[in-house]
Amino acid sequence: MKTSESGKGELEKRQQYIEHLSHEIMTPLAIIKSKAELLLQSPALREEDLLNTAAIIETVDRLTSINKGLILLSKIHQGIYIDREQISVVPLIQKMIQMLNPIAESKNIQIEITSELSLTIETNKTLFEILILNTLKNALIHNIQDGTLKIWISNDGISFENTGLIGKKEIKELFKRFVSGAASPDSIGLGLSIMKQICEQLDYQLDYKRSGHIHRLNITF
Amino acid sequence: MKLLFVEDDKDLIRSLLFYFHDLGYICEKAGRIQEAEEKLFLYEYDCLIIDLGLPDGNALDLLESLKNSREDVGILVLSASSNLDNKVKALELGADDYLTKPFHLSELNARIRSIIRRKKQHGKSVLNVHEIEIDTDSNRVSVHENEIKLTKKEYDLLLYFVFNRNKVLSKSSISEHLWGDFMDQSDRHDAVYSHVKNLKKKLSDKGSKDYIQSLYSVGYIFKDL
Repeated sequence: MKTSESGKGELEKRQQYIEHLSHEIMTPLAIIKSKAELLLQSPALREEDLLNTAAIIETVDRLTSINKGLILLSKIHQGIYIDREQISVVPLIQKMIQMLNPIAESKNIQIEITSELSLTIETNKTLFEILILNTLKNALIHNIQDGTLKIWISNDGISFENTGLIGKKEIKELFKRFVSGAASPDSIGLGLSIMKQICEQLDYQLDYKRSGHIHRLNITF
Repeated sequence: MKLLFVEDDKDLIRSLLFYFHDLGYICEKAGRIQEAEEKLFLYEYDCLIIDLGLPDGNALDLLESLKNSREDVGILVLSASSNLDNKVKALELGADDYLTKPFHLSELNARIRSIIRRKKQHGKSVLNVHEIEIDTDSNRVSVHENEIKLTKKEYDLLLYFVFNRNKVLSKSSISEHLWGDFMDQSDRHDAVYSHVKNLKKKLSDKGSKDYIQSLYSVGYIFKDL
């Protein structure tokens, strides 16, 4: 008993260390970003130079989002998000769809929700919100022009069914690795790792199926 | 308008001073809390930009001491941490806004401008940019005295352009300003494109010149013609 507790303390310390380091990285990132933004203002830049500078900014953004993902993962591992409260599921999902509307609009995706309106669940609000947001985001971003996203909400869980590309091997691969627990360390893979960690923490079951161009993700409470 | 940047990283401070000086602000810097306190005792500023992690202490203490003495100065806190507790604490101690690193300089500028605008209630709330008039109290926009109806996002976008006049705004900066950082994928670029296009059309329909120009696929600039 004693050894496992000190082992747990070690793990927590390591996770805190990771979180601390990740925060330290943000200042150098801020410096790179500000320098690139200043460079963008130079009237002497050729088209090529402008494009390269914009690429630097985009890459900093990507690094930042990976870094934020790492911070979140290490916080989950530290057991920070353990408190529970009652959440009304449908309004929460509607709010997030509203937030993601620019993506849905640009692809003209039809969203349909089937639900028991008054459903509330007891969960950790922060983690649950991140889980739902990531799921919705994936379902919209990997969707097709004029596609659909259908959401079923019940006491047992939530199902997301969306149209997507059949031939997109990378997505299939990602999900395969994700289900087997070895998602790749890029931002999409990290997003999936986060979803998996959250489900473990909240004791939900997560599974993914694809038939033809229909992708289906189930979260079971 | 006079700004005081309290930040200990020399490279970051140099970027900040360069950008904001160029925008026409009077800028000063302090690398430590003690230095900031001395400057605040001697001079008046419109807005303070304070990094949370400073070498000689926590910036929250500085906020605490400012809380009662300086109500008219705007305060924006910069932080490397998106930790919600720090943010809540900073806002409780009187900070007007909170921005996490890394940020876009143009975003920081837009935040500073809106803090200063809120603080100076007695100041004028109408911005005139050539034939475009923006009333920031009622959120109304007109061109040649003809009102144009903008959506909330289009209004935010126009204000972002006007605050950062003659500066190149990258697409990622515009997207983050309008939708926050959750839209971190390539899709946001389509959304930026369509909003800029709609705004440009509404302005030109009422006879405004074409100030908003696109720069290859990099971004946009509101350019005085």
